[in-house]
Amino acid sequence: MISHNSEHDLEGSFQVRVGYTTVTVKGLSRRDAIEQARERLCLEMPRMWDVIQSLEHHRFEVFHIK
Amino acid sequence: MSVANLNRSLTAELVDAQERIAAHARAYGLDFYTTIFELVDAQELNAIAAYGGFPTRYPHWRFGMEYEQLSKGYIYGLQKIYELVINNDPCYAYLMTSNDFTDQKLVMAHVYGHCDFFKNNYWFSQTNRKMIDEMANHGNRVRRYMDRFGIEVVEKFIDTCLSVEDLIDIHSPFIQRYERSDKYAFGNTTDDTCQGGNVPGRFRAKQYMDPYVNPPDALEREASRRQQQLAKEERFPKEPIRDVLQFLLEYAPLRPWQVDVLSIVRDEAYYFAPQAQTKIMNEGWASYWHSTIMTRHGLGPNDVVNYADHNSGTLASSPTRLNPYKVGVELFRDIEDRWNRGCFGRDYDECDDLIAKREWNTNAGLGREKIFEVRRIHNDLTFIDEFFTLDFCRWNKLFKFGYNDHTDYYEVESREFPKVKQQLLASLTNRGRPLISVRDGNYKNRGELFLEHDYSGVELELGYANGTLEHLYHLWQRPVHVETVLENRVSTLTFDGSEHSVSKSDQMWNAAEELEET
Repeated sequence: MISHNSEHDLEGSFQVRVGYTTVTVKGLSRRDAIEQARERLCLEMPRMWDVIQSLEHHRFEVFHIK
Repeated sequence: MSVANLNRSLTAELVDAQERIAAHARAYGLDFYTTIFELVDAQELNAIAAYGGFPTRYPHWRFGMEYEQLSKGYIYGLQKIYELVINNDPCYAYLMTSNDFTDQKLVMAHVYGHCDFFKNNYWFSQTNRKMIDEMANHGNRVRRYMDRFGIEVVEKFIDTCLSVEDLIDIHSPFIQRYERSDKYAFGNTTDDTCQGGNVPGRFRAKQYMDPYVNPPDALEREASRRQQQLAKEERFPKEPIRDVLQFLLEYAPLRPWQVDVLSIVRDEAYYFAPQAQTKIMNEGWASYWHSTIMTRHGLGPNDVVNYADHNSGTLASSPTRLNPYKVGVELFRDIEDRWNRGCFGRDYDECDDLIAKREWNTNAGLGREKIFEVRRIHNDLTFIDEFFTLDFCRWNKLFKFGYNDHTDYYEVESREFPKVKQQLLASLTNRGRPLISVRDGNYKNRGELFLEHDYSGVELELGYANGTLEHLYHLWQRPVHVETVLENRVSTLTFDGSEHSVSKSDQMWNAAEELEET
């Protein structure tokens, strides 16, 4: 049987930039990368939790790096 | 010391900053009464601070003394008051004219935090929101008494009242502790409670059924219960009263003007009590909001260095003093972070994996909601009890320190979490004051006043205790006693109008028993 793991195939690395901060995350899509970045930034900057959560998608710049 | 020509309104630049900061505060969900800012110079601000924030307060020498302390501290560069805010509707806040613009913005954001706390915290809910008017009224009444009876006489009496102003029941505005006795309910004036051979609690029954309907042991129990109740009713007061000032107002042999002055002191003590009960929370909440508003909206590039300098000065920790600003703001931030990551509830508490706990994140996002809830219902004691955790204690490197007789030096006694927390809680219980209540207003049937100290490990400072007894004697006009614990023995301090005495009983104080009882 030939199996095909589409999730694995699609996962890529993204560099997400918001303001002056940049993080590198793995994700299935650009939208997924933004969500991952949002989560990571919330953990790194807990005092900005509400600001990061309320940022609109277009504030994040996403670059596919792999 | 003159505070007559106040009411200097803000400059256009400050009005603009105020409007912007108020709008940000409202956008974050802060809810406050109209807040009126006034600009005052250092001398005026020290004078207002010496009056406890109320320039219209009654005259008394201690306000002058506090003014001297504050103004000397300011002149020597030891301390500086940036602002002062009054719990009132509308809220009044005083800004120092010499503050630079960054400080004024910081202070305004800080003030809105306080105003929101005053309005929404439960412990402030029973305070008089028209206290500025009330204080002016108190001032007029005291001045009138001074004109009539002489300044010396009235000031001396105020000194006496102030020495016992802590003896109030801080929870009494929220609960009814005792059944209010009806003045006009005249009871049986004779001692014959069971006339005509009626045994209390006996039901009517035929003779052959009597042993079953009225079993002798049940009758005995009922009789002893009634006996106890009767003994309790004969006691004066029926139950120990913690609001000693109220008891004195009702029963001490005072002249009408003295009753009025004592009631003024009591009203003001109740007004200020929630501020002492919520110092850590109130300052923490205000600091949380000034840092949030300033770092996100209020700071321009030219403000950053000044802001960082002054903010770090306010939040600086000292090895010998607990900074309420620092502890409060860090606890609020910790709560917000924990509730954002879902670090609460059974699953989290029962998790034994330290790494899993450290990286715990359910994306609950409830942090902001939770801190608003905390500021609504808690006071310092419950706040520390509930949210001061082992992790928090470790991260903030808190410790318990004490004096070492051998080395003649203060040193760190313990970093153990339970001990640190216990000491913090003990220092916050009843605002750090001893719990004293009236046990007997007719001690030994001689009209003497008997107080009891609810000892919990910290002895009364004898100098203060004796001084307070002297003042109480002045109010009660009969010998006064207080039962406390000295060197682990139950002891009674007495002042009979001429000399002090201490009688130590053989009864030892047992901490374990006390804990079981509570």
